[in-house]
Amino acid sequence: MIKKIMVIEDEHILLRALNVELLSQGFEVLSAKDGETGLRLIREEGPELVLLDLILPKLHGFEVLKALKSDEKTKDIPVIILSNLGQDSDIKKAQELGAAGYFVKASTDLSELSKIINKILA
Amino acid sequence: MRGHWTNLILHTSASIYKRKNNVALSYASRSIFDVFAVIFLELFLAVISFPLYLVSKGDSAKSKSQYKIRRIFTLSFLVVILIVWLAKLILMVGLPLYFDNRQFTVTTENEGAGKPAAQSYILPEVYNTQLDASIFVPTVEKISTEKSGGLLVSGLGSAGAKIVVNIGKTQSDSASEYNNIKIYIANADKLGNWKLETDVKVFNLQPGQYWLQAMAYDETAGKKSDVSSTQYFEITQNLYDRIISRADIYLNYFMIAFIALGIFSIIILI
Repeated sequence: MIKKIMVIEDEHILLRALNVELLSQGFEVLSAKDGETGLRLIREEGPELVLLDLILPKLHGFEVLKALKSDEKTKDIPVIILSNLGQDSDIKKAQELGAAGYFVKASTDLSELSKIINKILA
Repeated sequence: MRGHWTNLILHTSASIYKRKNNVALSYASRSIFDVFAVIFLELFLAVISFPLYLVSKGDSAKSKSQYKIRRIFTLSFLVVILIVWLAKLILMVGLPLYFDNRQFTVTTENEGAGKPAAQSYILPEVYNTQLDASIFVPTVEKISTEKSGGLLVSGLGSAGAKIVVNIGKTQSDSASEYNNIKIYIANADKLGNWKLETDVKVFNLQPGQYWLQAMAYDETAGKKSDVSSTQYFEITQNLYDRIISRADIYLNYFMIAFIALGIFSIIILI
């Protein structure tokens, strides 16, 4: 069964790059460019994993994460943060809110990210 | 390979974010470097991400239009730079080839500052001949420029005389003055009218102020007349020639203005 991953990223080019990378690994990819749309699509589609940016229009990534974790229907969906924000306070906050992983864009190797995604979904 | 490429996109995107933050947080003078870095990285990202739009589908109309705007902006920027530099190249390389034989000058008679030393720069065989005060000293009646760009000088002398015309630049320094002297020879007709029509290919005076003298030379008798009164004229570039000769500078100004406009637009959009 093909697993569904939701990517919420406001940078259009990066969103496409992530789509290409995940599609090539055999995942079905849903995408959204703002937090509000992303949250709605997660509730509608029920993906197996969410790849979430933090600085998002309409609804901040932390708000999306909080909303997902407070909803019975979506609280078990693993969420991986992929953000430009790399301060300890951001990473700590993400962990407290229940993120399954945290990647800083500037130092992320997508192959490492893929390994984590595969490990979580295994 | 694809992994390296997507990583490059990810890291470039992160660098743009970092630079934009630097621009927002630093003072104007310190942010200039980051502004240029943002421009460069945006262009770089637009280029390296191009294949993405060939392989993936399914985005919303909104994101497609945003990408289109970004792409149009980037490509327009590159195309304008390309056009400007091509125009520059054509003007710099093509025009000299095409207009090589044309002289875009206007001649006006004018009192110059420097005066030539009489008989100093004439042809050696003329210089060495004896001065004969009885030989009619030719007069210079008219100095003008022909449509073809050649110089037209005319005057009166004794019938059938050989008229030697010297032209020099009034502002030449002494070391180069001799080399700048141009010597022409005209023949007076039966009525004493002489006319010098310089060949545009040979005649190539640069814009500036010039003096002109004429003298009669009797080749058979080996004698020469005194020199005529010195005439002055000025060769100036016309508007068209000034534009052509300064095209490179104008294009550079345009490029600077265009880049400044681009920087301003990007700062506004950050």
